[in-house]
Amino acid sequence: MRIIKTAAGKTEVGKMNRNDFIDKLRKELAKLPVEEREAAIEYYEEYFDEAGPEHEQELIEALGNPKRVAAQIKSDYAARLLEDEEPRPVKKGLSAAWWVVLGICSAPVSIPAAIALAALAISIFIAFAGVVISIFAAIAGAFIGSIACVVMGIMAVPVSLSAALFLIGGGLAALALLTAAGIGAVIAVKAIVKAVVKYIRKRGSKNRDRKIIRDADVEKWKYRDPGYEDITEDTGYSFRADCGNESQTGDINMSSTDKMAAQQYEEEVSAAMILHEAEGCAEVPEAKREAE
Amino acid sequence: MAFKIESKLLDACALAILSKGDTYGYEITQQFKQAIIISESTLYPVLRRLQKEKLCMTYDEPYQGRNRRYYSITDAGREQLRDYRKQWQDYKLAIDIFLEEDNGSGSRGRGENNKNSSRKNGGGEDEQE
Repeated sequence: MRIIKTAAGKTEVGKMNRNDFIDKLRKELAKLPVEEREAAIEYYEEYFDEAGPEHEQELIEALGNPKRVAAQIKSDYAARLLEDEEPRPVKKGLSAAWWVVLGICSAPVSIPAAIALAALAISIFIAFAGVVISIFAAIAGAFIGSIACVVMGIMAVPVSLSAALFLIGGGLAALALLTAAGIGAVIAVKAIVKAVVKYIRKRGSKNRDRKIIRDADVEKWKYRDPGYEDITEDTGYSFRADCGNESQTGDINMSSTDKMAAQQYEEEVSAAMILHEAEGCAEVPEAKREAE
Repeated sequence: MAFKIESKLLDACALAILSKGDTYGYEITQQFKQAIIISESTLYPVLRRLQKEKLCMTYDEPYQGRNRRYYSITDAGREQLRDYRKQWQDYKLAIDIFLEEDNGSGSRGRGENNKNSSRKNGGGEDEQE
């Protein structure tokens, strides 16, 4: 469902079907690990099955923007990630202090060591680059050499046919071998670079998790439609019919908002009463006030 | 102006529903909706969280040619629910201290209401003296 805000402040709701919803949800969850994403998709597929095709449109409208549904899932995932990390910061904080002390004490040794390490890394990189360049240079040189061989062979035809044929044949064979070697070298270099990048990425996957957390934080702010003003920043749940509100805002205007607010208040009071009763609370302040 | 339902409170309510028997996502949402107005998308993260915290587990059962995922409370979940119930009592009492006191001290001429409140607050005032 798309919410398009018009100048008059009205919202128009475009039709969307179940598959559109699932597709959009999947796209929005693309950054989550596969397992998390598929679990969510499965849940909503089943949810649609349970609601039945006759309530499909109704449910889509109630669910609202897939972005928002995805944001709830992502922010919960992010919260879980944070919880998993929670015990660590304490230890990290302690060790961080030690690291500072250690760092200061060992500065005379560690700074040159760090420079040496950096130099080593750079030199490894340069050595690798040098090897790669020299391999390619050798191949290119040999390639030119074999071309020269073929040319010489052609020039030698009037002098000695057998020598000419030998040169041409040898040159062509060398060209073929070198072409194969060149392609092989390119593939090998690509594979090595890919492996190195993958290794670095793997080490950086923690940063990716952090990024999901950051994104989820951002999205909580980003996807707050006007109809969702009352959603809390931390959970996104409220007594209010935050879903029904959106689906019914098709023709909301200023005059009916007051009516809706009054209606909502009634709903809240009754919801609170029911909740209190459910929890075994005998006295409900709102109920008393209403009764008198 | 609505009270926001904190996510732990949703966890507690979901556990309470599950403690009455295994059930599936759609049904749990419908049960929630009997009492609280929540959006259809609220419950999935709650169930996922409970599952990840091993407070509930899931199993699939075939239903009309497809699978229905049932959620079942674990022993750890029951334990947690007991804890939540206790904490909810404390929380309710704590909030009542403010909300009910306000009712009692407010001299709005609501005789019956005041009587009720003073009776209720009697214990607390005795302690203060």
